Amino acid sequence: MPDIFEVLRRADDGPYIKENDFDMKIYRTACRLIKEHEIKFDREKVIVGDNKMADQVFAAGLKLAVELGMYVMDTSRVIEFTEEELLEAAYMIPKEFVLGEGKDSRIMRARTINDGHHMTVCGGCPGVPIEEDIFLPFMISYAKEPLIDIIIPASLTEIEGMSVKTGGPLEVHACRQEMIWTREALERVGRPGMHIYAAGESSATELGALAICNERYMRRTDSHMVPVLSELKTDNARLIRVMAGLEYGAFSTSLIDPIIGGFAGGSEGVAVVLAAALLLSTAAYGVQMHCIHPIHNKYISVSTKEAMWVDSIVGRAFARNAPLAILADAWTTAGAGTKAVLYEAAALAICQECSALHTDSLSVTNGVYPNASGLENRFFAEVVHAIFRQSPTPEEANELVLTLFGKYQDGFENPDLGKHFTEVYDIKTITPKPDWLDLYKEVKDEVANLGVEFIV
Amino acid sequence: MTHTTFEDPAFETIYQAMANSNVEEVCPLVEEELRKNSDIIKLIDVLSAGINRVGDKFAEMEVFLPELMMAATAMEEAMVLIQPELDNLGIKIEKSGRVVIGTIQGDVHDIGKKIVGAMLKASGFEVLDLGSDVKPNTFIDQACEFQADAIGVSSLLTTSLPFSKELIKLLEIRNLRDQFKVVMGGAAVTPAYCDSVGADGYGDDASGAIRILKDLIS
Repeated sequence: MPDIFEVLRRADDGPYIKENDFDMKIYRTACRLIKEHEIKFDREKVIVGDNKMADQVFAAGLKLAVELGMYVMDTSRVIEFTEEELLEAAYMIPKEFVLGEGKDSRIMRARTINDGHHMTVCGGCPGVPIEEDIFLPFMISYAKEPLIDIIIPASLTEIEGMSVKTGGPLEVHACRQEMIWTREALERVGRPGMHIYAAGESSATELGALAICNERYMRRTDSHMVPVLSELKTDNARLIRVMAGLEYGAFSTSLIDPIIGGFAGGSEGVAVVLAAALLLSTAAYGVQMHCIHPIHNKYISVSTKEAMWVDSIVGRAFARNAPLAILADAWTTAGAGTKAVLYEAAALAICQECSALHTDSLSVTNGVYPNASGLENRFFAEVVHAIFRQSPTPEEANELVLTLFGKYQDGFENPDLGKHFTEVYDIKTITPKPDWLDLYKEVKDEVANLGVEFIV
Repeated sequence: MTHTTFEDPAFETIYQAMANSNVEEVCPLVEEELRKNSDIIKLIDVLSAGINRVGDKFAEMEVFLPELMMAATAMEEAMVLIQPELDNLGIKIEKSGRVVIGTIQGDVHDIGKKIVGAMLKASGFEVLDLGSDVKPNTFIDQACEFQADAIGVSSLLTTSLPFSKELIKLLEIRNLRDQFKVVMGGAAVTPAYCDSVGADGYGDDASGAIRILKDLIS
């Protein structure tokens, strides 16, 4: 299996191709493979139970990864891997490891279908801009939710009234401050050893990863993230994160967000490209975990049928062929304080739990508005635990998801963005306000009536 | 969605080639029509109808970005073939406008911006795509050189948004604010943000961006 130095060598010396030609080659190859492997998206079967088609997605993804490789934008070269190298990397990746410390640690597993372990639930709302003065109570609202296993920080976008700019000096400070406050939130609720996932959320560049490689900020039991650029691309800034993370010794996660409607094509093409990206990033980045996030080109949200199908079939494909610890983003269109966000959360929880995935986070309003809180994440986790115990068939899970989808689908065009954190939570006691709690109870009863057997 | 048909079989063939993404057939068919001295205005209408159909299909997710880009390129290439004939006849075709687009500094996400670029071309705009990670002053310098009517700024990262604000500030400092309409879009952008920084418009998706640019430029 190639090590990082061999990867860097290939990034410099691999075959040259123009970026536009690489983009079009992805599309042509994906189209061909979809036909060859008879992969078909069915809007009425969002939760995939078809093992044969899942296996075909894996096979097509492997072929695509071998034929395309990973494109390096700085050198216009392709890091190529053989089929054997990709399969060996997927085999060598740890299947079970401990995240966090002491009583707050959790075992992260490469899941398989119905393997007797429920997902690891990550709490938090990445992407949304959070003001300095509410960052700590905001993170506490997630940290205090008992069903949350690991936590992801929010993004600090202002420091002392100044905007944090990509690549600017404040990125260093914002990432360190984000880690200090997230750790403080965990300490305040008596969970100091909880794993902090995707540390350095406030930085879009390699500066963040470099700034937090210190026990005061990111512990070696925490993790950071290395994106794969869409589609199947990387650059020096991403490879610097890889190098920094490898030498520091914290866990790392690839972030893969293929675009439905973009160069991968529709849902079928995105499933194949995502499978390829999972294999390529395992080999090129040497990560232990993966975050997947198929993006609908119009609605962005993962709660669309197109994106949930991709999550479901890719989760099943890897669970059966090359288990990896895959965490799926659960990004909703609606925001806190609305029924819609709870319906979306429930649909995504069912989809991910039944597809051998973990969750990366429940990020609302597609990561744009700070209209988020711990309560909708509690609901997500409660659905996960209920569904795990019930162990529905894919057909039963699909019926539930489609019913829930019918309750929020109108929101894609006109989203109910909900309310700011401070409007749905009392920030002194850091508890949900009565209106938000009542709405949560109402929807929980409604979802229970649909057949989800909540434990409490 | 409208399904246009043309009585003239040759025009119908061109329309179908464009609308059904058989774009490699478009230019040879256009050359053939030029040799036959066909009605050139009608020919442009046929091409426009074809590419509009591709745009509709893209919105409905029946075709995807690569087909949209190929159709936009075919349209540009066909217009290059047609232009000398237009010049000979003294006909001037009004463009919808000239737009410089790019992803703002610090942000390398460019697929959404490519979608907007392809759809703008399909809608008759002349487009200069500056790529990604574009500095505010580069947007302005290139817009001046391209004699653009508008600047389209994409930002998917919250931490890159300040550079969009900087672009508008620099336009004001350089006394160029009245010269260009500024439209913003991308996952990190909200209508409220556009208002707060003084942008002229917000595109919630590619279709929205085109709609707002047409309104602003007209």
